[in-house]
Amino acid sequence: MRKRTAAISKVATAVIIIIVIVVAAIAAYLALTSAPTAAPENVKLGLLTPLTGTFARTGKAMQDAAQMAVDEINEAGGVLGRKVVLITRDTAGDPETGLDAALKLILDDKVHVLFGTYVSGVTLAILPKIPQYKVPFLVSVSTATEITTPVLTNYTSYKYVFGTRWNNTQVGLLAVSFVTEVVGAKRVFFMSADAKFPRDLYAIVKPILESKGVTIVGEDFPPRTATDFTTYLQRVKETNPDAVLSTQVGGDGPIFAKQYYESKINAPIYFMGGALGSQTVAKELGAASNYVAFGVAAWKIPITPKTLKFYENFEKRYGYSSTNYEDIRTYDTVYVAVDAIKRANSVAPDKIVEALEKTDYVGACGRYAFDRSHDTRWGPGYLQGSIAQWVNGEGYIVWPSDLKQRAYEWPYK
Amino acid sequence: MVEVPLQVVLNGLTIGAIYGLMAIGLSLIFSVVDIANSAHGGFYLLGAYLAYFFQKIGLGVPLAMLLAVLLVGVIGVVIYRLTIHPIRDLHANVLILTFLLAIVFEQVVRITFGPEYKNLQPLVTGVFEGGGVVMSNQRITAAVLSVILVSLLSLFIKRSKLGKAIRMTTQDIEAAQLLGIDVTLIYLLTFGLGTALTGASAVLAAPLFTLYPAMGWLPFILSFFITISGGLGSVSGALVMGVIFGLTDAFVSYYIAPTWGLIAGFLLTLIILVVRPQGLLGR
Repeated sequence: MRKRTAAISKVATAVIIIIVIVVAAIAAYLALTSAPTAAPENVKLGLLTPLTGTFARTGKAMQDAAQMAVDEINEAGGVLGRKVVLITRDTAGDPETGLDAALKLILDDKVHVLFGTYVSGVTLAILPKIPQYKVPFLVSVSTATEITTPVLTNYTSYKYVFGTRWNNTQVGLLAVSFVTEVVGAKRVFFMSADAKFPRDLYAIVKPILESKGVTIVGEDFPPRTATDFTTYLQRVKETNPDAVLSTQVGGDGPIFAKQYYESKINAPIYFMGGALGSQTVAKELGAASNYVAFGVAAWKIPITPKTLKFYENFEKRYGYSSTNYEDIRTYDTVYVAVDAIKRANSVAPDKIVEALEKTDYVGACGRYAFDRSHDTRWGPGYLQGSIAQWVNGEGYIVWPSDLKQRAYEWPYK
Repeated sequence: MVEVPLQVVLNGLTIGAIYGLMAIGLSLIFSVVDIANSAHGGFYLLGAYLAYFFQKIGLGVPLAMLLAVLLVGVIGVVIYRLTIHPIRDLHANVLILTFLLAIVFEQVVRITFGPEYKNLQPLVTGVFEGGGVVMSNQRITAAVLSVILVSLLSLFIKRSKLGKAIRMTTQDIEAAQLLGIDVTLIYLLTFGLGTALTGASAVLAAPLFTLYPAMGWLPFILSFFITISGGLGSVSGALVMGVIFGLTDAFVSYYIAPTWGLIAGFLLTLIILVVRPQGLLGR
């Protein structure tokens, strides 16, 4: 009797277990195949920017501008009925850290579009991974020309790469215009941080200036960590230039500007990129920033109907001035990406790429359209830089003539 | 005979004097309290930013700088008492703790003031021009005040009652205790004095450059090299070594290449240590 009871008990247990398994399987099947009731997946944009290290100030501006764009888009209903989400990872301005951050955005965060990067070295470290993961990568700041070169030489692999930035050639051409058209200098000293961007710029600018009859009377590349420029300035003084071109990057730019002012060298100075484009920095430097000229991608003038709105909203929201390049360009890049997703009606990478190639979008900086190398078209009617100058903490465009607000001044001669 | 531009010599002398003041706080703490203060750069950073803050709220430049120096000293005393003193015999732990403190200071400054570059108003404005030399008045003032402060410190250590107590503590701690000297108080006051001097170097030097959260690391490295090669515990050693470093940097930068200036300075300190391990004026 006891044996029979035990046997029945075992069978009952087995039946119960089987029933539970079957019910669970049916439930799982129904859950997987039923119409989705959850909200559609967000459109994820992955921003790479230096939030720590030497370039943290600019990196934060890029992040703030991108977030502002994302919030505006979501307030207007998002894209394809979905919310846009910004995920930011810190590159620290270092290639290894940047690559790690990019892979996290791609593999862990599964972003639909990658964008940003400040330091060209970081961008170039990430580039070889793009063909492997096939994520659209919009470079909004890094200027190295070779970033988009692979699009021409190996389109199939690198078609995902686009440059919403201005490249080194475009930056260099502005500097040439300063020397030849704004000040009419014949003897130029080149003083820039020892980094890729300044050296690349010098390699572009030098032959163009020489072909226009300008003599490079000296060149120096202080380390990025330099804080005492007295010896460098001594060398500049001894060559007696008509103009000084500089591309200090990071913290050394404002220090150099300050010490340049105190050295009484009296040659007009122009900064190609770096912190001297920021009004916050200019106001902090006070007299030392007076009459410093610099190239800008955008300015607080109505370049397009969206330009002044960007400046107003950015300053109101964050309480500091735009860098006039990195942040506004990154802001526009968010819109360019979302515009492409909208026209593609998809977040599939190849469809986004197809749509990006047909971009004709007017942003805060100007009109975005891409050439064969997937860089933005440059020149009148598209994106075009300007030369500005600080006067008593306020900046004014001094070139080109169609955007000029006042004449260039250099009262120290 | 090679003509040496007066500008180069003065560049080296002025920055060297400032380096000397930068290092003296570290040297004092090293020799009296017997700890390696890796937060030296952090206190330098605090000094500069406190002066900036006080200037921004409307205090005059001299008062802002003085308050910043005093406050850095007080912060030094508090931090020493609460965090370092309990573990001061565990040298490795102190090294790590103070290093972490430096990182914390940097992050606190970054969060409070932001990563943007700031400008500290100088004590003396304007530029001196004469005899082929152009130099900011602040640089000249900073160098002169550095020499004065180091000299005053030397006199204080040699002549004052507290200075004698400090020397006794350094030379023979047991004897000092037997004589009734409160060694813990000596450590506290010395640490506070050391950090205050670091703050002083910051408020004098920072107007020559700009303020940013990571600005303390290079002064820390320079001070470390100058302290060791000048001779631990030697006030004049720190100043002399600072000037030698500054002149080396200036001459090598001018005659060879600017990028070699600091490297030459560091190499020179290494050579001094090899030839004279106790440092230039150390015993």
